[in-house]
Amino acid sequence: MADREKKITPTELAAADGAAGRRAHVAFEDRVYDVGVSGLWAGGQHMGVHQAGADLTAEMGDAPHGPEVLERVPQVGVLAAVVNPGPPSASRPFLPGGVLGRLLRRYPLLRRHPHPMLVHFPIVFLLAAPAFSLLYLATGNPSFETTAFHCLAGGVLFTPVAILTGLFTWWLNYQARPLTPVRRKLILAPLLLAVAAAALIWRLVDPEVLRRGFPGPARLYLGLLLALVPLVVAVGWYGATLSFPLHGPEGER
Amino acid sequence: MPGDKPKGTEVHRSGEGASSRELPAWLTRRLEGCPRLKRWPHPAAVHFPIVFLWSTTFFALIYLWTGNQSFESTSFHCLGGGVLSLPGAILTGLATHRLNFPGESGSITWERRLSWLLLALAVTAFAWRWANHRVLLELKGASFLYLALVLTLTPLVTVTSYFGGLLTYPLEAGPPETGAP
Repeated sequence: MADREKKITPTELAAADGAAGRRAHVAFEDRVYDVGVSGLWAGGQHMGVHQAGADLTAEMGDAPHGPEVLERVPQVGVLAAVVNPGPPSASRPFLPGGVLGRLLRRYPLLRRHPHPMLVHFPIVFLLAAPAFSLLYLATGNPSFETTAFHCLAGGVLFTPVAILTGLFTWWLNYQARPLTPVRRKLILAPLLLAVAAAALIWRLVDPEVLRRGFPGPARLYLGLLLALVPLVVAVGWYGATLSFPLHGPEGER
Repeated sequence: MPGDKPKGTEVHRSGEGASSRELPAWLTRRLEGCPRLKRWPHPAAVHFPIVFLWSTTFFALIYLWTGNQSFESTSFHCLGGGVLSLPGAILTGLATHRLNFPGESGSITWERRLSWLLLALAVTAFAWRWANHRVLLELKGASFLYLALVLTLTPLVTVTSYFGGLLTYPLEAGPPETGAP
């Protein structure tokens, strides 16, 4: 069994880069871990971005997961310059008390997964609504217009749920810090919901709005539907920058 | 988190075993010029088959419950959307595997196998519904097999995306011990 307190020098750490069959070690908050046991670090690389043989403390904040994933690999030492590393609890994620805390302890899946799972639905439904409307206009087949209406309803139903889970994720995993992507999503997501809800109400009140021909209100209704596309793309884009951050010049924003 | 912590220094390291080393030079240059092409296409593409194939099942059940045929049409249209978007999701998934996960893991293996099975079932159901547009409207005999195919899509999509989700959001090893940050 590895000595968890073995002193490892920065030179030794750099040599354990996982390349050419070498060991793959990473440091996090002065502790050194053997990530070579994980299939996600084959060849010493993780996600094509993170490299073994380095101190990843600064990079952890960019990951879609927290430092708790390092509990799945063995600690094999501490950085040599460090005499007494801080308690590992310092790197543990925020956990509220009460029923919610107990629930999250029992089902860690609830911590990060609900929002990424739910956002699929408003994204696709609100892109499908204008797409099927255009298909109707191109083909004249009214069933496509009905499908667009059903998708629009699906989008309006799921958007509030996605917003709520997003707020929960922001509070729980980012401690509601005013991150730029989140601040933009906080403006764009309610706007998206307002536009989608307006279009849905219009279509409910006037089911023939798009079928009566183009002159008149149909243009405005179609304009509302088409406005969903850039709004959905922008909201999804800012969400992706949180889950899949970039490094280097393109990632610096 | 972007914006509030120091960034890593490199864009794409090509360590030993990283498959990007074997890519054509023009593609490597393109990926280095636009790093998001390396990681973003698959997560973006998978939205579509997940929702369309879930919706195929959902709208078919709504039709069976209400008898409103427009829901059956929507189910068919969603099935079409799923069949069209699934190959793109699979191809971007294979590219993501090659570019970002040089090794093999259980999650990747299962996701790949289930994706092909999902595509086969979805194409079969779509071709069936295309050839016989009344297959679900007259629910008898072989129609139950079509319904079974449609019902199978949802659990299959769920399990496939679960394995994909594990790669981006690994489950935590155990319960944290402390409450406050």
